[in-house]
Amino acid sequence: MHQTLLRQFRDPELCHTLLTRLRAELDGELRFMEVCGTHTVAIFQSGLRSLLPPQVVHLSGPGCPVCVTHESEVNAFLDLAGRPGVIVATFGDLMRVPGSRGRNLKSAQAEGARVAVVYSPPDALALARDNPGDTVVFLGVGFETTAPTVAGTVLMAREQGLSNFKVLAFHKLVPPALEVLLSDTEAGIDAFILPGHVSAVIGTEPYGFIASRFGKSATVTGFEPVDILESLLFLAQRRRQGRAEVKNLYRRVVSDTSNPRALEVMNRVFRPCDALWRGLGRIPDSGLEFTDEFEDVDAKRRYGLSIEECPPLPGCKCGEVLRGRLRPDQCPLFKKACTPAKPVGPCMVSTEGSCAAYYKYQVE
Amino acid sequence: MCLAVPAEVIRIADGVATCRLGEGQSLIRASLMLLPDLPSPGDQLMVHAGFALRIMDPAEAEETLRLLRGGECPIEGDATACAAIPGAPANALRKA
Ligand code: SF4
Ligand code: SF4
Repeated sequence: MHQTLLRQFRDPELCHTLLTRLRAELDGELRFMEVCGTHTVAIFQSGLRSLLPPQVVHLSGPGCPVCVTHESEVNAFLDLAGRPGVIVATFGDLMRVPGSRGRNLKSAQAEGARVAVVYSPPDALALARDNPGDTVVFLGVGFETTAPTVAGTVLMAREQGLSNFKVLAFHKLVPPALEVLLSDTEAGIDAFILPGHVSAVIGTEPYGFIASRFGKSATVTGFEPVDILESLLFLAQRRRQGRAEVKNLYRRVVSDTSNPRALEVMNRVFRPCDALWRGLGRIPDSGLEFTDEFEDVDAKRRYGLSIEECPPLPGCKCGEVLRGRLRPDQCPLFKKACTPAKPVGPCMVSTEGSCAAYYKYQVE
Repeated sequence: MCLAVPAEVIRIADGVATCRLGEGQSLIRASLMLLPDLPSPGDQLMVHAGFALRIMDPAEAEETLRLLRGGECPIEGDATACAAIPGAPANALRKA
């Protein structure tokens, strides 16, 4: 039943109707940025991108945790990997992300570091249980969607008395990054499609400032073509009306209010701190660090890892791409020195990165 | 990297739901620790990295489709925030 219902969000006929209405609604260029990597892929994969009217300009934002992981943070991963008694547990996507000297976790593994790819933080916990003589360090990246799952795993570890489970936490929070993007006039972003599952945790209220302070509209939406077209129609309509509004168009999954239980777990284990974002630099209160109650789980403290801010990779324009100032194919390295097989920057590494999507779907 | 997926609850034991993934036959386990309310078998969950984050609401999906097919999109009201776009002509403010 549910699957049949979900399939209707791909109904070609309904998409066609929405596209016609969108065309009628447009009164000029609409530069929209989607903040989530899964939206980026959905827009390309469904073929939607080539169907959009030319006035709709599509910008891919900093919505992929892999893409926004700073070079200095990757350096910290590499510093940790290979230490005696340490097993690094990570989501597979981080394996090929380059640090400041072009090295990545895959090269560290080839040199003998023990690196295990896991699908979820509880898998990393199981690894700690199976290797009592070692310390398993999970690399915590990702936004408000992932942070509660890592926090939940930390609580499980404590309950199970597993003291050989640690986390190197570089989680990031979406709303402060949006403020930076909105303050950047060069990209000229008119509207946002916000990450659907971040809102499954924080609700839609924390996004109100996009309309009230910056006068831009935004929607929280799902990942099917109908969801995205409905959002674009809404954004175009609000602009024509001269109104800015933040709207939840993903009610089947998200409510306007937060998931209080997930937030409670996240806020017990983590508290906000300044964070480094690849391409966006240091953003106040946009990251998460361990609260005092859980400092024993903090791999940063346990291994004395210092996060030295290092310069970006030479030639890589990921920063400009993530801000919406540059299209991936405008980067001089795109398809030349930088390909998915031999990525220079993280936007080409991650399957949800905009450079990888441009490459794969051969956008003109 | 972050793949939240819809999954249908088959059974629940010790705060963990065993769920069917999408249309396939593969099963996944999801901790219910982050949910404010307990789901029931047959409920559709949004699962991310081993944890259920929300119970999905099929009635809302049906309502969205009904409104869109009826040409009523997007619905008015209950916005999180609403403001006039700076620089927009005043007479642009009219009802949808
Ligand atoms: S967690 Fe989900 S919604 Fe958030 S950025 Fe990742 S894919 Fe997008
Ligand atoms: S094409 Fe490669 S080098 Fe250029 S911005 Fe994208 S990832 Fe960076």
